[in-house]
Amino acid sequence: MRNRKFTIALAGNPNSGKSTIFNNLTGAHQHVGNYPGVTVEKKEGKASFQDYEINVVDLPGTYSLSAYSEDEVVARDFIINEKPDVIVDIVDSSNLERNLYLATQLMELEIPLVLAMNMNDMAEKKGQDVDYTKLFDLLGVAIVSTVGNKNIGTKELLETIIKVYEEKIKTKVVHIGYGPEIREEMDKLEQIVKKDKELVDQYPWRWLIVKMLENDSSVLDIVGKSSIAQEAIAQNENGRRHLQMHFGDIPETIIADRRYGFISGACTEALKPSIEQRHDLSDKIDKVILNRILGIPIFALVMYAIFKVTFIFSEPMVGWFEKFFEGLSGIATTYIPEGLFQSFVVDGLIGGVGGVLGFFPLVLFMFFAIAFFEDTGYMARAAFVMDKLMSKFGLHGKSFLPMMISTNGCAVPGIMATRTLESKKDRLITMMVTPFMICGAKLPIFALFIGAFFPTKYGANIMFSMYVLSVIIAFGSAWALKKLVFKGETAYFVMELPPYRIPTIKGLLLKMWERGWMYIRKAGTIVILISIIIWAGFTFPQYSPKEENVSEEEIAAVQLEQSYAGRFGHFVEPVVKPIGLDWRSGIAFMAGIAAKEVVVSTFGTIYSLGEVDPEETDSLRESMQKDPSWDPLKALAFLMFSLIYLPCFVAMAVFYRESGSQLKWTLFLIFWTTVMAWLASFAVYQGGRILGFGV
Amino acid sequence: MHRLTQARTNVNLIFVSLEGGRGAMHRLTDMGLIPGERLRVLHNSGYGPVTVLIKGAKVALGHGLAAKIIVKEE
Repeated sequence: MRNRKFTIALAGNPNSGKSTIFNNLTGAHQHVGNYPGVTVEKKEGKASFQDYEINVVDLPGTYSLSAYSEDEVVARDFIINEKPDVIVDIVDSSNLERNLYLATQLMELEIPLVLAMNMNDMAEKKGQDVDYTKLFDLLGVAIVSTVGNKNIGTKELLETIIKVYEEKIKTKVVHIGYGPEIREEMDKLEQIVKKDKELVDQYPWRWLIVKMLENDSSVLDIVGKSSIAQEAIAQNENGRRHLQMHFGDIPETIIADRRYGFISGACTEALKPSIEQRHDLSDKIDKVILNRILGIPIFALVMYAIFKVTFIFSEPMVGWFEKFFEGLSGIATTYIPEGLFQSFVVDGLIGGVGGVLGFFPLVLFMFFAIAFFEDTGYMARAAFVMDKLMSKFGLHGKSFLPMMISTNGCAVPGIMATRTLESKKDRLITMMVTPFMICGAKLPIFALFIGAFFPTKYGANIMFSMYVLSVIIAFGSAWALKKLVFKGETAYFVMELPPYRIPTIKGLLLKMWERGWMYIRKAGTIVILISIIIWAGFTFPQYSPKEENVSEEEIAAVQLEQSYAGRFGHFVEPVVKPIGLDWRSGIAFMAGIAAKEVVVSTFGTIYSLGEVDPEETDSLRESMQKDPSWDPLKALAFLMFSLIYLPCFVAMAVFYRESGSQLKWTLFLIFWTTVMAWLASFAVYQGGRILGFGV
Repeated sequence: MHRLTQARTNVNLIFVSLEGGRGAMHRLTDMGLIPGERLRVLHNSGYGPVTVLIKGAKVALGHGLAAKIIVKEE
């Protein structure tokens, strides 16, 4: 009996310490993926213990198993379809009754269940005393006491899991007494449902009928496709109507009430009465943090700290990566003969890989900072503090962070930061508006144009209005998206405020690494691929001058104009004409999709100046000033367009992946940003002309 | 009987009903708030979210939702 393999699933409420237990069980042997087609993270790991190799799947943290949220559907679909051998429900012992609500629903799935009574030290401190034998009898599940953050009880948990798997501990299915009225309706449904053999082979029948009475949309879908569809649905509607008349309340509520009743009964018997819950320290901290006057400045301070850590502390690492890739390009230039292949390796390949890894330190440091404030319990409060303001625009309290990371920072970690939002709708809206913020790479464009076409004394004002405008556009878009695209019942703000805790370094590092690695794994291939496509667009067809004495800079300018990308710039000229711009701007916008600061160096090439450093643009500024086709109004229209249009392709790649790899949302983002950009520049340019500005 | 947004801080209440959709009711049920359940108001400034204690856990409810929750004093 060597190396027996089996699978367990970890379930539990958010804040129950589930991820800590997962880390304790699996150590570093874990990887993160996504459940197919959804944005929900799937964490898996291996635990080797005695002669067993246990595959541990971490289900999303949920309060119940309904069809209302993606997380819950994912969790229960996994249990029903993959049929893990054992389910471990991580329960916060200091908050037993609420946490056991999930257990009552897991019990109905008829898979052996182990309860890990986590954070038992906290509960004991409060004077809670549990009679485990009695609780085992009442619930029919194996019970282990653990303290996740001190790694206490991990061995016992593994032993119990194995004993349950080997059936040395007999768990039993305890049925919740739903009362005679509900029981009667269940009996009627049972007879109908059991007629479809296939259906009850695939799903536990008791779970099916309880869920039907609860009006669970996805179970009703399943039953609706079975051979007994008509009869079952008709009976269910009848039964629900009957129950509603009898109780004067919807059956969902009655069923929930019975579950809580069952728990409360079990707890009264198995728990020695404990003293009233104390929240001393947490309460005192909350008095300050949730204070209407102090709340906002504290929030601002925390956000500032996250921003600082993301962009300042990561600087050395960004520097190392830059040096490394410079070196690599140097080596490639030396050893590969000049020509197409060298250009491919240096600009296409190394440029692409460098593009991915260039953002990596930012993503890592940001996730460390976020993990810190998440694990201490502050993040839930931050959402609370900002919710009033953000919800006016259809955003969530937690939407603030991604937008802030993006301002003067970068939309790539900004979009990744939307992972802290639970609802898919809130996530999508936030992801959609985050790229509107002025990221660090857009700054050189502003510096160039403002410097070239506006008197110095107006510079700061124009810059400031650009920031204000970006905020207006982002919030306005969120509001419009909520009204037009994401209609339906408003997501109400209900959030548990967990007690404050001191995070563990190991937990923070693991969280940072797993989310950071996710970025590389998901965005990496797309970014490299697109980088090569962009390289090809600017390199082909190749231009070789017939005359002898043409300078290298002039060749580059012609090469750019007659390349596919350049031709595309000409092609879109009719579109940018109404906003006062010509084909050169078209090319610059195309190039800006590679990275926003490339807009500046592209103008350098167009004006035959060779390589222009985005930080040193004096000569380019002069050339543009001398060019009669520019004027301040056109410059403003250009700025407006570059402020709003398409995010760079790295951001788009991350957006694509983070929105569940659905092309429709990415296409929508492209459409939305481009149309907005065009309309805004059109308004500025044509409006300005009517008012008599410009040429 | 009154709305949760009108409740004073540090008062024990009983949840009566919710004037809202099934999705909202479900969220409350998840937190252990079912008709007849006791809750304690921890923080209500009269604007913005309300924090309450339900089954020993601290829960923040958005102002919009709290305004739809009908409670009575214990």
